[in-house]
Amino acid sequence: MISSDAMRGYNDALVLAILQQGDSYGYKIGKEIRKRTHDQYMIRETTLYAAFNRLSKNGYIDAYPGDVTNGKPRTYYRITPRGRAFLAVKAEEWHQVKHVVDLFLN
Amino acid sequence: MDTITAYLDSLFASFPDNPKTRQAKTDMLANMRDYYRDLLHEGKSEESAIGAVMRAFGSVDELREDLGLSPQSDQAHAHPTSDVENAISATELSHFWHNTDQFATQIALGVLLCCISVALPAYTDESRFQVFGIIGMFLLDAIAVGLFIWAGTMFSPQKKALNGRPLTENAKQLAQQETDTYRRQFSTGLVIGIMICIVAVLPPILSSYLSHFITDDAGGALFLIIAGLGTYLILYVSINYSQIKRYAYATAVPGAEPQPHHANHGNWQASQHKHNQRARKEIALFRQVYWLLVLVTYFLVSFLFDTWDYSWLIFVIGGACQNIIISLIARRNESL
Repeated sequence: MISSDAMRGYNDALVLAILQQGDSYGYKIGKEIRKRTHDQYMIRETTLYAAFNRLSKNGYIDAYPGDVTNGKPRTYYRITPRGRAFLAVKAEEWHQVKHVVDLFLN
Repeated sequence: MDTITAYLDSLFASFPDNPKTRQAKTDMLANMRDYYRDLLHEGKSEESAIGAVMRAFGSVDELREDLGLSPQSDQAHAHPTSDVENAISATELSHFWHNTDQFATQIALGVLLCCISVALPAYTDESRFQVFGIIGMFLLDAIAVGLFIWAGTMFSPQKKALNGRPLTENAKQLAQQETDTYRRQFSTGLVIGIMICIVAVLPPILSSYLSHFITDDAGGALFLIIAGLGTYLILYVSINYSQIKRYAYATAVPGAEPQPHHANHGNWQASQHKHNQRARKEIALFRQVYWLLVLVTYFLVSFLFDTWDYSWLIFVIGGACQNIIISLIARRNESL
């Protein structure tokens, strides 16, 4: 199980990467992260919420009221062109970071 | 399900009520409920699902920062947060009980000194030592008042420091153990204390029949001192017990492993609250009727048998009996 601390700086990218494949809402995104990492990383509720806020403020995602699921209206998120560009930058950065850290820890 | 709502309510209680926080709460509640539902579908028990949902919440500080609230400004009236650091640890709790024990000793001693202070002039009344009795009375009273003030000022910040904070799992277990252990001591202390108070009535009664053996003054003084000792015991165990018991029912922060009782916590507290309210109403009604009866009995008996000398003791005994009956009412409601 990876701690939220270790993932710091990449939570936003994770959310964007999921949104790139289609609009989604809070719980579904959190679940997707859990599923794809085989329960190795569970993003916390507040961390996820903070990520949405940051991404919205920077114009990387748009929030809109979606359809009702399980009797509750959901806030859906959609990735913006700026968000896609940011994700590409983040992906490039990650390749470099991974390469550099590997030089020391591998 | 409602446990989740209650949990979120408590976490959001320190935040201002505005559209932003309301939206955050609605979204989070929906997420947490979805997660809870999924966990149940996966075959988890209600208890472990609730525990997992609470653990997945995160930190209130993060949320506070996110909603644009400064972490300091809300600290003063911050509510129990999900952070385990804020919870009362077992060590802190034992330390608090140690202080409670001191507080109980000081208060009980103060009351005992008050009783003795009145006994002094009663005993030396109309003798050549009368003046010493009165001086002694004021001296003891001064010490007693000093004790009350000292004990109160030392203890209240200690108590305040723990107010409104949750307990760690360990601390809660400790509180439950201690409550069970101390319950016997408390009952024993209470019974002996009340018995002593009743026995205290003997010297004044004896003095009216065997005045050559024990004088009226000595009888009165002895009564006050013995009753003072009984009160000491009752006060001491009651204060200690109440401060131990209150933490056995306090909310605990979900630790590494959720405990089975978490799921029903919300409901349990609600029903407990209802019982408490009912008990309070019954006790208030009882008090009104009870003291009226005691007063009527006092006048009736005193007039009929001309026992004004010592029939006032009915109020002392009545006080002790009142405590017994009230605790019986409270216990009956608790066990319902």
